[in-house]
Amino acid sequence: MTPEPAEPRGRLNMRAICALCVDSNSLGLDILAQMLMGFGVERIVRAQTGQDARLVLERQEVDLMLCDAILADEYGSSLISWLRRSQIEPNRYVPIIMMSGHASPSAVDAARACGSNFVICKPTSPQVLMDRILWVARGGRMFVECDVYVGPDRRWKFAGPPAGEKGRRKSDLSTALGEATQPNLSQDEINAVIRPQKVAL
Amino acid sequence: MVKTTLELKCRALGGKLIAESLRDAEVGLASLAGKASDEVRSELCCIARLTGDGGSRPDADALDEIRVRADRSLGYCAALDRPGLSDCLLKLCLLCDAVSDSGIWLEGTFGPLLTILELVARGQMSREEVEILMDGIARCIEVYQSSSSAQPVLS
Repeated sequence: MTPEPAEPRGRLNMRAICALCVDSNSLGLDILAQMLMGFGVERIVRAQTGQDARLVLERQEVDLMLCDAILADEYGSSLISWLRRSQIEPNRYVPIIMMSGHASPSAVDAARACGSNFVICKPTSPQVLMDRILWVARGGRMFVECDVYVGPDRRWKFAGPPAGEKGRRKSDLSTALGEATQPNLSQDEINAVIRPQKVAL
Repeated sequence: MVKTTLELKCRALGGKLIAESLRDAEVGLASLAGKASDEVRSELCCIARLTGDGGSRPDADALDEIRVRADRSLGYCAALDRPGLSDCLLKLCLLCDAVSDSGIWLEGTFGPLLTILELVARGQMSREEVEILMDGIARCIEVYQSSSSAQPVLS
């Protein structure tokens, strides 16, 4: 018999959060709103077009944005790209979760390139949405701004630049080891660095 | 590193248990089931009109619209307990992509899938039955995909 999955533990305080939901149809917005209300979000702003969303983003501060990939007047990716490159503080840094029904590789690439934090495939279950919100709320992701990209850091691993390529960042180190610039440490010097600590039992 | 207001606010004292939040969200979604079911059926009617009698290939605009309507319906599945419905809608999107990228047209391409979708949307098919029938749809998609790699795409 398969054991029942354990209930998730812990609390999340989403009461003070203002969430902007952008979807071209009202039922899609209702679905998102019901999930967020279940999570305890009390301030939910709805926008049915990219234009409406822009007006909201220019006028009020939002803490989380859920955006459909296909809007009535534009693609979700162009709205997100506009926001990331805008000077609207602090909304330009807002965590954005993009939702797409038919997540083809090109759609996921577009979502990644426009600066969204995450892409979720529809139909979105409360569990998946909660997982992703928890993930973006955990933070710890750098915000990258350069000529070709503005948004959260897309690197998931700290493995350096791909083999044989020069890194694109100032912080990228060369993968080739250079010659030693100082003499090797003596055993006494090594012992001094790695000194066993006394343990009180 | 930018600390967002979401990070700061979520960690405030109090709040709801995550398990309770999920249960409340499920209850909220269930309240939309009737409306979602109506919308899915309405979208399927529109898609059926766009595909016509299957005698001729839908034009590029029609294929785009079918894809958009299927994509929208996928979102509605969150409020519906219809096993296999989202899989069928996803197959419809994939079939649209395959037809768009291909230069050929097989008469009645969309017919079987739309019939399955109608039955699934009414709750008249089990997930197992849907899975078996989806194999046939997957083979149809493969035929289009193999033709698109062999022939130049017609615009």
